[in-house]
Amino acid sequence: MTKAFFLFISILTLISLIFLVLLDEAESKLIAFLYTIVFFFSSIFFFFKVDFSKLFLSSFYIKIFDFFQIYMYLGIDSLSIIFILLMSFLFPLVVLSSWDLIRFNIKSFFFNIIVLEFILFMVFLSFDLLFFYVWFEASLIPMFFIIAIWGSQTRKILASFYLLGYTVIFSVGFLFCILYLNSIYGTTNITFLKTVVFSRNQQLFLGFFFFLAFAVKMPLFPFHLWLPEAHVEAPTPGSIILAGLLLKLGYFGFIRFFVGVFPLALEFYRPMFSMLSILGCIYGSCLALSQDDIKKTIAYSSVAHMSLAMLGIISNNIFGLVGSYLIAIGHTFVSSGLFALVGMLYNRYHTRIIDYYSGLNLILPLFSFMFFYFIISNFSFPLSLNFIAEVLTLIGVGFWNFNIVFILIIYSVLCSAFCLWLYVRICHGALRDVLILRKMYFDLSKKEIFILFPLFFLSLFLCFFPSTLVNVILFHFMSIIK
Amino acid sequence: MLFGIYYILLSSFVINFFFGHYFGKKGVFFLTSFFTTLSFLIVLYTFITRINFVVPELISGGVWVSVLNFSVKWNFLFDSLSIIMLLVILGISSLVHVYSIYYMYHDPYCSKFMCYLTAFTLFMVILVTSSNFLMLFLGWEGVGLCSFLLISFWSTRVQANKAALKAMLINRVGDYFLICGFILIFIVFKSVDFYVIFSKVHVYIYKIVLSSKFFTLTVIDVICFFLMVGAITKSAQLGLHGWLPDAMEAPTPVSALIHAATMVTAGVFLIIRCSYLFEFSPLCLKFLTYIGAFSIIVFGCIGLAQYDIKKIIAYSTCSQLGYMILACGLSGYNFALFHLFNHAGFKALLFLSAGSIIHTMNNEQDIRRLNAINSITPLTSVCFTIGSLSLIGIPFFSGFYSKDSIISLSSFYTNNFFIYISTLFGVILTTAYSFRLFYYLFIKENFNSSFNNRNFLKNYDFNYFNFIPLIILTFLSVASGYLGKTLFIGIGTNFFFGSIFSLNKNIFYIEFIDFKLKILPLLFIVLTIVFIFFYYKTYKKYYIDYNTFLLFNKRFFIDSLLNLFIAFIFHRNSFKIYFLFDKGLLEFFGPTGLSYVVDKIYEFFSEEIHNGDIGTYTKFSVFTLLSVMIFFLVVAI
Repeated sequence: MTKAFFLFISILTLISLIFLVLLDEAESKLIAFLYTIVFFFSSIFFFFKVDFSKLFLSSFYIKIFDFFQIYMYLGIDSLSIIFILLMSFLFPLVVLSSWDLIRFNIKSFFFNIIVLEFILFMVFLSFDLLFFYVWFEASLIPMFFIIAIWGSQTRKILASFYLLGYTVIFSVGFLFCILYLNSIYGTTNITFLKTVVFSRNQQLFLGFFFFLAFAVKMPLFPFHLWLPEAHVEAPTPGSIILAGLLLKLGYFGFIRFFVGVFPLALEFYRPMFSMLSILGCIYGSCLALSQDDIKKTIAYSSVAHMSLAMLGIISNNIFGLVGSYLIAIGHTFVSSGLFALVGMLYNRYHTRIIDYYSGLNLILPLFSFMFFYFIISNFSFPLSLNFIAEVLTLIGVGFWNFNIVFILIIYSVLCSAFCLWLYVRICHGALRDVLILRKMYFDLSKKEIFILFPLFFLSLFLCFFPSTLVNVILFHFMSIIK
Repeated sequence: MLFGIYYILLSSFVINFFFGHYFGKKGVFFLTSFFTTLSFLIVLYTFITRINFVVPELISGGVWVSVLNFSVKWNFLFDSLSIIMLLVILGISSLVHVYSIYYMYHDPYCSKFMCYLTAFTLFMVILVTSSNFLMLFLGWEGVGLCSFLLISFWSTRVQANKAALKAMLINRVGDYFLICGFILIFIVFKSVDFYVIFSKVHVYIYKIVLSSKFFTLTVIDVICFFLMVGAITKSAQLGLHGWLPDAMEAPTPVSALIHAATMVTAGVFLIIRCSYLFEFSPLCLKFLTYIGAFSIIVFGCIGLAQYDIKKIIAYSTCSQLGYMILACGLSGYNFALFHLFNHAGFKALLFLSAGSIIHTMNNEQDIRRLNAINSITPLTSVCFTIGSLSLIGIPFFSGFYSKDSIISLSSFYTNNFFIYISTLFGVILTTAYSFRLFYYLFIKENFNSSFNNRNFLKNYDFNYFNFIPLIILTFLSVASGYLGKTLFIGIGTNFFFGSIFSLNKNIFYIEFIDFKLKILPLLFIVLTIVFIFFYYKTYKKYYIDYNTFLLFNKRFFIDSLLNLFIAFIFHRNSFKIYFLFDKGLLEFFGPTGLSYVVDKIYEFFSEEIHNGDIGTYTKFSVFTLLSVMIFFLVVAI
């Protein structure tokens, strides 16, 4: 079943890429949209066909080079299916949001989008460290082009190099660790490596470089510089993918290749990790207060949220893990929604500077409603998935160390401060003449509602029925806690 | 049937919020008022039919969150405490809905306003009927959100936005303490359900977390501390009160419903609900007593020197909430609830009649320009006066029954006489600011502003939607004390059996108090009234010192100090941190510095290229090479 699913998606990707290349530029949007929609429905079909709450892992080999004895070990378990669903859910919205936005090189843009979706699919499928590394790094290539070609300002080249440079440089160690593991154990298969008991020194050494590779992607505190740059320069679909999926790769890596594998390293580096995460929480939300660009504010809030997810991971109990997992998913909905909204605002007024906006709830009521919902979700208000996620994470952290829960009050208050400040600055206040004189004050169109409503609905629905997500993953998390 | 109130309120909100524009203005007004009144009638019917038995009813609505032993169910708890709170909330809410028809009729966004009011009512109902802390928190945050939306309802006003932000942010502090509290409860008790926690409290009474020479902290103390900070934030007690007076920027029906009768009493409700926990934490009870006593005095003093009619009533609310908190601290939870019940009636009456005065006088709120209005709005003035008398505690008005019993209760607190003194002093202050207001509004004649300019709308307050709520509330503020006394605080009443708990040593019988002590508050009231009239008859510029007046008028500078030492620090330094770290250190030891180093290395090795840009791709490959070298260096070490 899993192999059939994989083959189906591969053939689908191949066919749609061929069609994309052969057909006219005008049809490329439609092909990309059809591809993402078919992808979405096939993954949903797959999800309901296989009962993942009971199935631990469904995997298979693909032999690539017979000479080097290298196998591509692919598989789907309850962790990866959730991320595959999340990704396939988000990509149609990405295509929709780039529908009118991309005006040149349309064909190559959608080529990048399709390739990126397939690469992310392969990342989530990989049960082999080497191939995980390959696809993990490969996801940078389409992202690099999306930012560097379809970005908005001249700084976009710098931003794309920030993205590339940070990830590549910090994951060099990861690559050598993989080679080291291969030289010792003769394989890089993670299901095998999970059964190996590493010595303490090995764990500390390997764990540190694994941490570096994933922490850059998360991003944690000192490695986060690329994120605001990349977000600001990326076009709206690029931002949505970046916040919604690429940051989750770091989280995914931690859960898949760190938590169950290096328990001693987690124990040893815990003070450092927790310090960086707490700093990231407070620092990210504090810096978000001082930004003048809406996208930068939201980017810094992403730093804060993913740091909180990291705290949940290192608390190393079931509540923390489930909480961080829900944060990762809730953050996908919320930040994607916020970036989509900012893009809509940018399409109308061609600026992202907060000071130029005021009183938008008088002329864009629907926009203000959606913006308000995503803003209150961003500071973990009840009625959004983030609330359940934050409570569970804090419970997990509290079981480990209650003082940290108490320190995080600064994060909570600052986070609500910048979120509400952003909302009040943009949507409340007296209406500026400039905003009306441009004659661009039409409210959200139907297409924009189609982008936002699924995010809004899922975030609201999953707040009241979080068990739908938790039941799938619970056994997986119970198996990796040591 | 009782469960129907959720469906009624939710459907009222959803229908009117999403499809309100199909019904038009009158339709939305009618539907929201009708639905809220209907839910009130259901609760009233239940209360009347079930008043004789006190068995709590638990209505289950399925599972919400379930992760291992953290399982939270949608269980709604209807016991005597929540029924009383429901009566207050839905009663005042339906009256305010009706009043809003009068007050908000000409507002273009009135349908949005009504929807927010209904949503607020729904969240408040969830708060008081919750059977676990997570649901309580949902309601707690929800009312805060509705408060934010309603304060900034006239969103083009800068002051309204500032007040809304302030309210939300200060409340977030309290909310986070509440989260901390219930996380600690879950860690200790392994459950967040009220009944499970309350039945396991006695196991943890002696579990000490911190012990020193002066005091020992049990785990119950710590939990109660977190809950208490949450409660005093919501109830606007001293130190975290700054949001409530500023929240008077909201439309007046909102002030009546949210910032006087219901939402601010949520803190008191939380303490009463957790009486099983607070009873075993003498330290927190003591703290509550003192914070209540200080709040009574400080807010009374501030109320004396304000000139905004709504702010005076707001500070009076803070002061009266101080009485409730103090009663909770003395373990007189039913006294606090009784005062809450009466206070909701007369404070809503005061706000609503103040609102109709403001509306009639063309949105004038300064009492120096609201003189002799009893000739313009006679019936409203009568209602206002009755509300004031009830607030002061003139015998046999409703405020008398509850406040007098709290004062009598505090006379039993013999550890420190300050508590009793402060409650008595609170009576003096209440009388003083009420009669000051009374003097300005009804007695003082200043023909310059209000009559000669004709800046009032003649007979504007003559409207049935204005008078029906006012007259009902007037009746309540006269009679609710008399009607409820036996039920709430009568000797041997077992109405709250099971929902409120106090240790035997904390129960006092106020009926056996000495007559001299009993008459003392009345004596003070009479003396203060005489003094106030004497003061204004022989009016000189400042009887009290100007600096004292300034201190009271500027609210003891508490808000300014909090701004200076907390808010500004973060707001100003966040910018500095941004330049110091993100644009400074991290760039220097990160990409920019690395790029500079690579430039230098490249220059060193190649003599042809001087000071030229070497191109990003070259630089990038050198980066990667460098990082490989660093990696091997680290491994070698």
